[in-house]
Amino acid sequence: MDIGHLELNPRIINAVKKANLRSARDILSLSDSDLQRLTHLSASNVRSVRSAVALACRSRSPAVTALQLYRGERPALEPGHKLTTGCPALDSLLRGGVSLTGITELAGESGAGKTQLGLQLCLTVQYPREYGGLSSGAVFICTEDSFPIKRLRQLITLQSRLKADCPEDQRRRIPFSDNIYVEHAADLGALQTCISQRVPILLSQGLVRLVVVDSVAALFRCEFRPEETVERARHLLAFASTLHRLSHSFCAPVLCINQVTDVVDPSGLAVSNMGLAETKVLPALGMAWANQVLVRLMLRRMEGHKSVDGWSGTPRKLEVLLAPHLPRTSCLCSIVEEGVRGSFTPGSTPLD
Amino acid sequence: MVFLREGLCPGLTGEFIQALRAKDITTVEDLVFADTEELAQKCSVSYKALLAVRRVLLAQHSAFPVSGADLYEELLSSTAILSTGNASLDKLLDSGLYTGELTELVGAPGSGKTQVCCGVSVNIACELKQSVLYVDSTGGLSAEHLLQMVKAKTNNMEEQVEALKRIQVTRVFDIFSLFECLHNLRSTGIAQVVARGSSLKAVIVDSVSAVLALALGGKQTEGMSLMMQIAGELRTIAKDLNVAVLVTNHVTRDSNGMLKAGLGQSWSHVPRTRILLQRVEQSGSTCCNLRTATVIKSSRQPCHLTEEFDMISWAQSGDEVSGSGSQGKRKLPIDSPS
Amino acid sequence: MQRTVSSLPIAPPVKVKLISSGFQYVADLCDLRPLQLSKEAGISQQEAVDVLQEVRGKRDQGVAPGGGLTALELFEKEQGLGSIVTFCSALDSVLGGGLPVGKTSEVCGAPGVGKTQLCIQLAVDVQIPLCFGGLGGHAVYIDTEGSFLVQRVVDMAEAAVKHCSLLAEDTEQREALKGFTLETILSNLFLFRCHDYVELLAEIYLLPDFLAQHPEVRLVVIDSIAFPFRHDFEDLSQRTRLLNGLAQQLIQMATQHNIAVVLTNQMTTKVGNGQSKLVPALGESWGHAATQRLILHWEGQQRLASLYKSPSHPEATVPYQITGEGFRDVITTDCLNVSADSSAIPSGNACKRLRLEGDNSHI
Repeated sequence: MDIGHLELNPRIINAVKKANLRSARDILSLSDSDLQRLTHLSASNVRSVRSAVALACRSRSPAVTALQLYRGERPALEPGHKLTTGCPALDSLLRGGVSLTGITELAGESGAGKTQLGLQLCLTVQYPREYGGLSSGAVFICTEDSFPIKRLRQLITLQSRLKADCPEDQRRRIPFSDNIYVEHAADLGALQTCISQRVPILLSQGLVRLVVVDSVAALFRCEFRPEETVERARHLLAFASTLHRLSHSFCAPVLCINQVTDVVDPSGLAVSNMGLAETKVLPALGMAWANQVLVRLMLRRMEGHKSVDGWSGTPRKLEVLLAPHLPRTSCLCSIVEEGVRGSFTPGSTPLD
Repeated sequence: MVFLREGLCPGLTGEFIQALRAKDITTVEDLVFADTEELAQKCSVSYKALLAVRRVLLAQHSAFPVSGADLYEELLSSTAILSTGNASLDKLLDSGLYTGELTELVGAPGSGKTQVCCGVSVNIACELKQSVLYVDSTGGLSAEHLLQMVKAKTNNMEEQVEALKRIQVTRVFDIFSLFECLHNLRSTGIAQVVARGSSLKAVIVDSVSAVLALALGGKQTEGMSLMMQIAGELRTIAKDLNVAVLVTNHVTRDSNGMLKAGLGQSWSHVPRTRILLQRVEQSGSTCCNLRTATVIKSSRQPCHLTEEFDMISWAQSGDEVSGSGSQGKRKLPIDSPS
Repeated sequence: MQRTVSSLPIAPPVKVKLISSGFQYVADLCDLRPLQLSKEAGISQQEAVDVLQEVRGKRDQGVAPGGGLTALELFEKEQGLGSIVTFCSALDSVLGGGLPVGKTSEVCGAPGVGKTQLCIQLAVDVQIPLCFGGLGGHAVYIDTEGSFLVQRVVDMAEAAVKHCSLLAEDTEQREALKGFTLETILSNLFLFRCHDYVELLAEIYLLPDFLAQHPEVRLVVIDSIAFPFRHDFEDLSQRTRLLNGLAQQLIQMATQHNIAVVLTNQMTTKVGNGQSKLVPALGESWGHAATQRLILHWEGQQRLASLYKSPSHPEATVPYQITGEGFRDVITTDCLNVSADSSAIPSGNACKRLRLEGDNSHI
């Protein structure tokens, strides 16, 4: 924001500039008497500076009614559609798919199929809007293992089976593998540069509309010792806030894959176990991270259950742990050749 | 430091002041300390006139000695001790709030500061039938709650209405409106505040830290001076109007994690008595209505005297509370004379 | 003793100049003309005009101690304001009939426990027509987390409309229902989205103007206050100062415009004495900010709401649940009884209202 462009008397603008107050942040975080002291302006002048600055700030996000949002008149604030997972059962669990704004977290034990679902979204995002996609690419940030390129190839070849609703000629035109940008971040510094420099460029050029981080836990868990929780929380908040801002300014969904941690002391954690009394594992990174996510999903292996609908392999359960718009429900699913598929029956029983 | 101004005393004319100013005599102190004879010559003013002015100014600005016996007499005749309506608190305060003094309640959020303030005002309005000015800066005062407390004391509708009428409520949200309110009270307000047939006996400021914390901190240098002015104003009100002043303050933690009262060192000298309120932590339950009160500064009671009491009893079990209230009254050395 | 110049809300540099040139008391300034004052105190004419305006303004205002009223008048005013039902009758009774209008309340809780759900529920419930025991007001929702999803508002609004239509008995209520539809509920809910604390400060600074233009607003929700203030802050003392200022602004707004202000806050893990526990974020001094503090938490699989700080109601803990329709009572084994009970929340409130008015008239 430029102070010079505010609708104010030039004398006042000069005084503000002279006091070395350059941004809205400077002006709004000072008290009236501090502003008077720094600018040597009268009380009424200071008040008019403050309202002008506040108005300039607001023009970026004026008041809207919920009705305008509902009718889709403000697509920047409420897109009105979601990113499909490629499977109708999973989409119905998520009420249409992955939310376009905000951080969606997918937690689960290793081998639960988190990365698979991440890859699947990287492909569905490329479909045109009428098929649930965003007609754009994806950026996949690996912090743990190398990018599973083999599995991606397999998924691409079997797309016709997953997204049978999209006509073949349309699908042929999508260069699936060219639209996925893979980033490797080996430490926190690299991750921070990646999301604060390279990812914004990709997003602003319209090359991608989805950010997948696989996984957030790896770096934050290994780079900090247990006693450095405060420091870790600070980094985690900064990281989450960058992602949050990216998601909202480009209306691009962000999927963060997270590890799980064992519940060490169930009695001590009774207050924070999110009402999951029977569970032995919880998503990693603690409360500081949990406060930052919009939707939290958990994928578990259902050992000892027989497979669903004749699908091969161990069945999985995708559970909604928290989301402002979803009930606490779950859905049985399975990892098949063409990707992750859910089943409408009989797993979708509400927990609450 | 009082500046020499026209009309400060007879004989101090504009010309006179001009002449003095030319010789760097601008304040009363300058004039008093200067050698009168020399000054008369330097400014070429009459020595007699200068001496007369000096004498008047001295008389106006010097303190008046009072004998200890007179002071004691005055104390006995004017001081009242207002029971808080709670036996435990009365014990800590040595039977109640003293008029002419500043008492402070400190405590963490939810420790019951506002509740105690409400209880005190209701007790004064209902039992002692005196007026109270309640300055609310946190928006925490609920008249419905006051009524509930009054109902616990009396079943008579008339009395309930009268009691509520004796509590005057003012809401202030910044330090300057607090000044405004206190100043009005001091200069003219007392007659207006008081309902008929009673006199103003207590001024409650809940909370003084909410308005002061805004002015303190940051790069603001004047915050401290404003705080001390509020302190001065409150003390003057306590003395001049002979009322008990009760303020609330928040707590902070020092580097060892120990609780201490907010607003820093300079404020700590302001209240005569300071009571720390704390909730009794019970394992397993988030809610608890038991509180402890501890004396952390007092000129009458040993420090760290602690009493435990129940918040609920104040509003509900009427018999018990009024019983303790009258017990408090009996202990009074002098009942409020009004 | 007179009022001192230093207790006036004027710029500190001007104040210093005034005092050092001998103007100690307000009375000294009263009879001066601006030109005279600017010469004597060495301040600019504009400053002198401002100072005199401040001084005269005070004197002309008269002597009434700042809009004071007796507790009796305050009580009558409070009774007129009412409260907002939560649709969880247990919580309503703990709060004394619902969330109080004219006060600030803080809702704290771990992620997913239902803070946003409660806020959206309140934003819908504040619009319940008067004849159903509601307030018929509008709502302002300031979303800083991006967790306000209109889909969810639609769910709750539809449930609330259905609920009221089942209760409608007389023609007045049926008439009122025409103005209580999904469309009107959504159009009377104003959303502001703030992405950082600077935008939030700007929004709150401008909110009084918005409220003056929309006098029907009875509820302002800030969901959440913690989110923007928990990052980007190196200087914690500045954060405390800003939050204190914000709290005073909100209390003032709540009192002057007769609105309920609801703030949500996150929880943070605090390690002390070798054990960790969850406490509301933003530090201890923030705890003084709101008049009431409600903590939502889990116990096993049960959601509980605890009134932790309230100047007027005893502390208590009650269970609640989040259903597809919104924030609701927990249905206990005694199904019949409770379902009848929960369907009668708004009318129950109406009864309460009547009773209170009765109370009021005979004191």
